[in-house]
Amino acid sequence: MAQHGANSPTAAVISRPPLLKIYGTQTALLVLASAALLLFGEVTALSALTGGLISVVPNAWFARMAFRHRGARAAGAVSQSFKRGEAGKFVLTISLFAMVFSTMPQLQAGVLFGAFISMMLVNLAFAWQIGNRRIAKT
Amino acid sequence: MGLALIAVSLMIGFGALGTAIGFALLGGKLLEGSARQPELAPMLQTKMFLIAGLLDAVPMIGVGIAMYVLFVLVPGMA
Repeated sequence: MAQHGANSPTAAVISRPPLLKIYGTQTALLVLASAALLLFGEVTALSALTGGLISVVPNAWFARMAFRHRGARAAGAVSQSFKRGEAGKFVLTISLFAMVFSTMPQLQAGVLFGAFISMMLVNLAFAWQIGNRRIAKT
Repeated sequence: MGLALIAVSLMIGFGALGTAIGFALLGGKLLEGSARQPELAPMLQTKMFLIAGLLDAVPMIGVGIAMYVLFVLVPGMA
């Protein structure tokens, strides 16, 4: 009978995704885009940077929590850590938005939300890439 | 001002509710899938990560708009 779970050969092939590299790349992209937006003014660049960071920081927290446990034997723990990660992401997003809007009301809301949504789409693209890469490995 | 407060509470409340229902369904399916085919558990986990990102994208934008209404559009309320 085949042995399954975290110690099985299949599970050993599928490695943990490089989260630090992924979110570091996203932050670097965001900083570059914000630097380019300096051409339109400091407020625009700052709005884009804060909007992007409001998206990247909670997503990084969620990804860290989501991949804390691996394997079929830890399926319950995986489900629990997904739940905790999502709750943390929700609270972090609310807190960061509240903090930014209460301390920096001069920011351009359109640019801020645009950067927020763009970074969300970038995050989805990275997640899709992780899924494809890991399926190709199995 | 009162109506704005109600709008903000509805946006945050329903956003959280929708996400919670989605995650409950996703978690249940992950457990079910892992029990049926344990060798696919890591792949299901990455798929769940992708779907989770899609699931909470719209509620997060809603939360952001709610905070904008609360702190910028009606600043005396917060």
